[in-house]
Amino acid sequence: MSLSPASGIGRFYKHSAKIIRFVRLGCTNRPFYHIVVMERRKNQHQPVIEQVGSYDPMPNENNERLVALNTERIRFWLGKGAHMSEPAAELLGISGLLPVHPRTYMTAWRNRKAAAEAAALAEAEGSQKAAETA
Amino acid sequence: MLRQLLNPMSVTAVKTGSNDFALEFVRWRRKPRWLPVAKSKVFRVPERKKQTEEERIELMRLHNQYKTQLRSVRQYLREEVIRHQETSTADHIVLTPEQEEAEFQRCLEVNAEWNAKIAGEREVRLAKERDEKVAYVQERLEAGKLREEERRERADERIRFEIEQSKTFVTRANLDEAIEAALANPVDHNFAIDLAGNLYRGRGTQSLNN
Amino acid sequence: MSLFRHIRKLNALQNVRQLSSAGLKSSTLQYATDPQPQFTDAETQQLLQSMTQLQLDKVFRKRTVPDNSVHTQFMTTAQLEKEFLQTIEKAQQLLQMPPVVKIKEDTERIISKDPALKDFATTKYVFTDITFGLPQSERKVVVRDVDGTLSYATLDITKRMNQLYFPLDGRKFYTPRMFSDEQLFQRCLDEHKYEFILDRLTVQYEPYEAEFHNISAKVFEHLNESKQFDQLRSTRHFGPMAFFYAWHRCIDDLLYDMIRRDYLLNAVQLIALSYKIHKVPLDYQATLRQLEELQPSPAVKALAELRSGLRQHQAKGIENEIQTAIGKTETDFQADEISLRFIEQYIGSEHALKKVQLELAVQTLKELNLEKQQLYEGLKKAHGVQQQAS
Repeated sequence: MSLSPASGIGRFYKHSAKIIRFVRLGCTNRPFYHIVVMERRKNQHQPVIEQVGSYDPMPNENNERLVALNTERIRFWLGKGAHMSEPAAELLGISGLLPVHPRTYMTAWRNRKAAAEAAALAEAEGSQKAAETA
Repeated sequence: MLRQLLNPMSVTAVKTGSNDFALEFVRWRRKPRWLPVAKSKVFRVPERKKQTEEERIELMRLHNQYKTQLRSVRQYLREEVIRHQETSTADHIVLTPEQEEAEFQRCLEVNAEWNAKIAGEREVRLAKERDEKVAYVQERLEAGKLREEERRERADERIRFEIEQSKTFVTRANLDEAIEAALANPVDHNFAIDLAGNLYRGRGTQSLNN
Repeated sequence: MSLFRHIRKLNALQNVRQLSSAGLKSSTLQYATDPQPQFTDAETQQLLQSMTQLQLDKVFRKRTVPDNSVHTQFMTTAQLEKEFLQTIEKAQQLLQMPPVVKIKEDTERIISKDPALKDFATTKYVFTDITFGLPQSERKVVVRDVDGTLSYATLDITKRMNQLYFPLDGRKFYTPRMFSDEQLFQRCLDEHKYEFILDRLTVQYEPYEAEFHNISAKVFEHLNESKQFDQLRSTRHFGPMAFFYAWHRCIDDLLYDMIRRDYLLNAVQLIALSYKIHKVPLDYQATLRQLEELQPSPAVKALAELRSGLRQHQAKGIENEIQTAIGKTETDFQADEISLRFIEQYIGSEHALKKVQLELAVQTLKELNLEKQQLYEGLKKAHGVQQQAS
């Protein structure tokens, strides 16, 4: 599958619903996403209207996840009334361009809770072992 | 059928023509949608993330907040886009009336200059063409005159020839004489040719005898 | 592909080693205050440009680049003259000095802190604005840390992202091993590949980076010991080098080299530069003005050299021939006298460190000059130029 150019070749109606969303590229076990604007009803692998960024969900050697955002065009499309898919909204929220999405907060507190439980479990096990040895 | 498909022997046989030597992995082969749930997964119940009441309320609060914030951000962006469209000169050129007038004057000047230049060129060209035409007509006239003279010459010649000829014409006055002369001198145009190409004139044999 | 991976791995190893040994050791000489106002000053620039000289052969020498092709063309004299001017302009462009500015400090600029976002992900996110048409310096890069802090990225990350999304030609994404490995760097220095190092340095680093200052300082220090200043003459790095020596008060070796090679004007300019930087209350401007009147600027000299190639077939005066044979004209002798006086004044002052050496050099040059002048006078007299002139 050949890549479409960033300016996009997708045809669209003037008043159709547009959406800012991810397109999964990359290959098996190696996701890579383009952040694109396209017609909402379309399949993700159809030609896009415009590519406005990219997202690499796998951490690089410096343990960073890289995101590129064409903020000017994102602002334009949002101003034109484009929708956002939920992951895209989360990512834009994290970037500080838009308010942080509630789902991000939810993941955060769930992660914190899981970590606290794991720590408590480990501590309990440790104390148990200490009691056994004593 | 799936078992048959998944059997490594048969797969290699299909893919490499019963050659176990070159093993080929086909990693994009997935289980088709219409096959039933695998036996090992039949009784697996997917874990469902539990949502407590307080979490639900908190999420509701956050969502409400988020929606409000996003709405205002969108409103701002929409205004920004409109403002940008109004003020942007990205796809067209905006001029003040004075500038427009100046531009128009400049265009007029350029046009006038161009016209003058073209007019000069045209003058020269037309003058040259006129001269050429005059020369051509002159030439043709002279040629016509020459032709006329030649024609007249030829006609004169002809008249002179005819006058010359007219001396031997048979007229009513000398008709009898002419008849007599003709009768007296019969002309025989017949002739014969022998194998050597000699010409023998006359029907009779007088000339042969001569 | 596998080769790339191998190189990446090597570089990763390098990084590990670099972390353990903290890269190249920092050099001893640093700019204590901001050198930029002194460097970009018009007078300093003029001095440095004049010191760099403009040897066309060196500027347009064959390089290790893919295209070294030569274009041959027939031209009229007017066209040739135009071409000459363009050539000089191009050479001056090629000799543009990389600026000397102070090291940019990395300041932490936090946009927002959100403790509720703590542990939202396992790694931090780096966001780069890829809006079309922004210059690299204005491109925003922000980082969302694991603890929910949103801040502007450090210079290091910003540069990395810029190179990733808008790569510069020749700049590597990783640190070239030449700059990260002490031994390799030392080998480059020992083989006297100064220009190569500096060229690569200017491509790889920005002038405001600490590495740029560190490595260039090391190169200049090594150069000061090996005394192969002529390698950098008529390249874009000569100006910063002279500025570095003048700033750190170690111009004596360079000065010695200039006197030995009979670049007295440059020597005077170097001394003037050091006076200017350290604000020594001494009137050097009058001397400089005198010398400038007597001797042409490098660009004019180069142009004259180009034109002389054109007019070889024309008959030359006998005076010209004598001058070319000796290599100096009467004005040159005058200029030499003025500059020697100035240099001796410098050697006599407390600013000079290697007095004996410099004095010896000056003495030798003086004797040589005297000999040349005598020869010049003699030749002139023998050819009867004097009478013609008078």
